[in-house]
Amino acid sequence: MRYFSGSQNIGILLLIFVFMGLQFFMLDRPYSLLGDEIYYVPEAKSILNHNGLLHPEHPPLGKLFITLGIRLFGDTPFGWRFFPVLFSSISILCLYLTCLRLNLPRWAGLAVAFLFAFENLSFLTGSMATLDVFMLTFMLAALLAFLDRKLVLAGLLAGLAALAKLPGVFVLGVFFLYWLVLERENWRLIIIPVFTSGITFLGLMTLLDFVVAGVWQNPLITVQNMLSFAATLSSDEVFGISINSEPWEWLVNRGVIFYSYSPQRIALVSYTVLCLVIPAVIYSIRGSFKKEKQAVIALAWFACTYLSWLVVSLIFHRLMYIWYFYPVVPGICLALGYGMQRFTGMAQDAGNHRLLISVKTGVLLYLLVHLVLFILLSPVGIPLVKWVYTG
Amino acid sequence: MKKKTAVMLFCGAVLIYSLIVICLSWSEIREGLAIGRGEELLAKGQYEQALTVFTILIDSNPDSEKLYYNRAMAYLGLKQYERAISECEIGMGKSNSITSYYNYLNLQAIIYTQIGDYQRAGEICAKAISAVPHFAQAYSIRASVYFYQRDYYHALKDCEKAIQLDSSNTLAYKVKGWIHAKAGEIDKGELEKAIENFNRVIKLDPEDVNTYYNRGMAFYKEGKKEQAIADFNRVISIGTEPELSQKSRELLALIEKEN
Repeated sequence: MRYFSGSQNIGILLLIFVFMGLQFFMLDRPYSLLGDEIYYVPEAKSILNHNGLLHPEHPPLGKLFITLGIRLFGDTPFGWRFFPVLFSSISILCLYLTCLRLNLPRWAGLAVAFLFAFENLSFLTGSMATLDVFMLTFMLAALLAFLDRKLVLAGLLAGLAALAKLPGVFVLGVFFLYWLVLERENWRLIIIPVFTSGITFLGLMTLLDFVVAGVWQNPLITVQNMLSFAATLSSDEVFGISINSEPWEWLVNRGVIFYSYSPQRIALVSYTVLCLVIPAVIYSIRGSFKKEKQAVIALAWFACTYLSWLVVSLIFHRLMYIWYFYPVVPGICLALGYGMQRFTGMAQDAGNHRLLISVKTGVLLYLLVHLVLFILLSPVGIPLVKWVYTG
Repeated sequence: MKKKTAVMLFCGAVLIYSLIVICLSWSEIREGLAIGRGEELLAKGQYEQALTVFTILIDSNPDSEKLYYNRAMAYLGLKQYERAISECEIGMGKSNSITSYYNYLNLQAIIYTQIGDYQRAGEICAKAISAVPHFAQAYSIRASVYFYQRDYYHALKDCEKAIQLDSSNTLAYKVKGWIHAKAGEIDKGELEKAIENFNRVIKLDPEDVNTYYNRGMAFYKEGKKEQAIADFNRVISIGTEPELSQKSRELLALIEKEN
């Protein structure tokens, strides 16, 4: 909380306010289930009616938030998507606070939060009644707690991330890489979060399973069933279209999913972020060799949330979808923020005023292009199909 | 100087990479947008144009199962039922998942319902329900089949099931509205329930011309002529169903005469 006092944070509050405003404005457009919501909303209603789980292949925490939304606000898009929007707003805040914790200047933190908030895939996934948004928010909160050295809390939040969706466990990989590169002598850094997250995950899994299904189950068997189901996933589609894609295809926006045309909801990564993934990662590798904290975290996040899928895809040939890139986005935004800060710093150090002005203008222009792209791609603007086919 | 060259090289590489990314994804996005355009034409009732769009797309991508679904929809709109069914069969042959198979079964059931072969339509719905019992669509289609068979009890039961699974399922509200409107012929109190359901449909799909017409009829029967006039005018202004537009004009003339 010490990073979050005074008037200097008015920018982030304004950003979140605008983000939430847009999300709530678009919440019931279209007034129908989108993508995987066709699984999770009926499942939430099944839980609400004490009929248990329809899709036991995922842990119950995220589904319970959707259930709570329906319980509080009714079986409407507002009820389905209220908690996802709330969580995605919290995730923006967590990312901003992480930037501050990593000693990035406030303007860079704000730029990172801005990039994340108005990135098309994040905006879209952050408003859908699916599990990814809950998982990512807990992951980011866990990272923040970890950087604050609140290791028990970090483990607890990592456990909750995995309880929302199993890949939430990847955040432990981020902790591990951080420990490995920067503080190898401090064993507590890795032991405490791993231990706490394990206890949280197994303990709460049993409890939540009892809440939703009314029976006590061995959490290890539940997890084993989930993993064996995940391994069998070999093909799927949305309304007839084959929508699965390979992780390397996400880097060039292949496997795009059109959830709806009007309003436009297209699952694709904003080009302003996507085109800079590889440069940002390369720059983070360079920074990691210099043991710069921001670069290490950005790179570790990318490795755990993206490269893990690459490995899973190569070994298990499991089906994957472009929205799996959603948790990768904060890491890329962080790397971009790190790059922006470094470039501005270098210009400042060079004492070249013209160069500094050029770099700052470049950053502002880049953020402006990002905003324009958001308006073009997101549900907020005029649908692309109208742009392309009118006249 | 060395640093400057490195920065320029880096920027150049980023630019080239960006161009490659945009080029690689553009064909996929363009195809997606073309499908969107076709779907828009289908929604507007411009079936001939939609058929042309989907035929061009199928010619360039014959393995895309989704496109056969869309072309079947266009044939259905043109009332070329046999062609629509054969498109479904091609699509089903290409479908590689249970959801796709389910969607084709549902479309076939709709086609058979329109032909009036309720027996076959009912059988296909049952097949779809047993394939994916937790999806709402097949229940609502079967509800419409029961409605046409005048089995209102089972129709209502399937509507409730569909709504329970997906509260945004328009067909279920539509069929409920039809049932209550039918009951309104005997008990006028039922008309209010019919209007309630039609309101839900219009909230979900503000361009549903059939439902405006049905709601207009319910208002008319209730004696709420102003609301009925508004709905019939809406049918004419949307104008995607010439037959309904003509009927609406006739009803408007009748109301004027009565006044």
